[in-house]
Amino acid sequence: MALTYVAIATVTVGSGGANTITFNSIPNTYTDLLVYLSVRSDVSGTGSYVSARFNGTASIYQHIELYAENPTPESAKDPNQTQSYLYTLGHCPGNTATANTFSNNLVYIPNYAASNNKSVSAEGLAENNSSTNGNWTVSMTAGFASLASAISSVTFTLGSNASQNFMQYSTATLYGIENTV
Amino acid sequence: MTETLTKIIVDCSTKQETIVPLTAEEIAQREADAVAFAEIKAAEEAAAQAKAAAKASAEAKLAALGLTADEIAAL
Repeated sequence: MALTYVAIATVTVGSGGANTITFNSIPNTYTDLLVYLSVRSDVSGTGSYVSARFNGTASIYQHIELYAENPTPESAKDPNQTQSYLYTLGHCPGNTATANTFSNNLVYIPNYAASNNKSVSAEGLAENNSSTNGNWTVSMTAGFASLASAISSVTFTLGSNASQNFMQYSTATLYGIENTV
Repeated sequence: MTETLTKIIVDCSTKQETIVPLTAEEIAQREADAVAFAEIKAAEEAAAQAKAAAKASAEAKLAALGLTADEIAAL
């Protein structure tokens, strides 16, 4: 990995699981932020969704997503800036997916410290050893947050059920990206 | 919900990690978020199903006009 990637903090979920993961007091000294997640939901199903909120602020997000869970790619979007979370920053396995499989999610936030609205790009894979349509997903998402202050906090949650938890051994690592070597 | 929902908070300035229960307000917000998310996904799925149904209907009409499956797929 390039020297311009600085690992700011990392989290590994313990045996009790976790409903949310939050990085607080993010320094504003980097150019961009990057978060790698390797997570699994305890939902009874083969998949779930990773979502995020910045600075604890709701109702400022919109997104468009290109995804495939069968051989025909599909797309979805919500152009209204009223989403309470930035939804679907990639998918992740649920608790009935192949044992010990975790997602690969990458969330990139350029110019996170600027006093302008924020753009986000994300990609995610729900790993699962299955050939059944709908039991795996690959996705790319373009997101937007109407937030004109620096991002100092990012909270990650899961899917369409408030009681969904990140399972043990899920990890999230926050990197700061510097534009100088 | 009967289980205790917890949140992991990492203070990036100190690297200190804390695990604490969600407050009642946070749980209420999570539930509201989940309902909103489910509504968005339901709308997306309904739109996808409507699109698939329209596609199948169009393909059936084209087939009735005499187009082969390969010709329809080539459109």
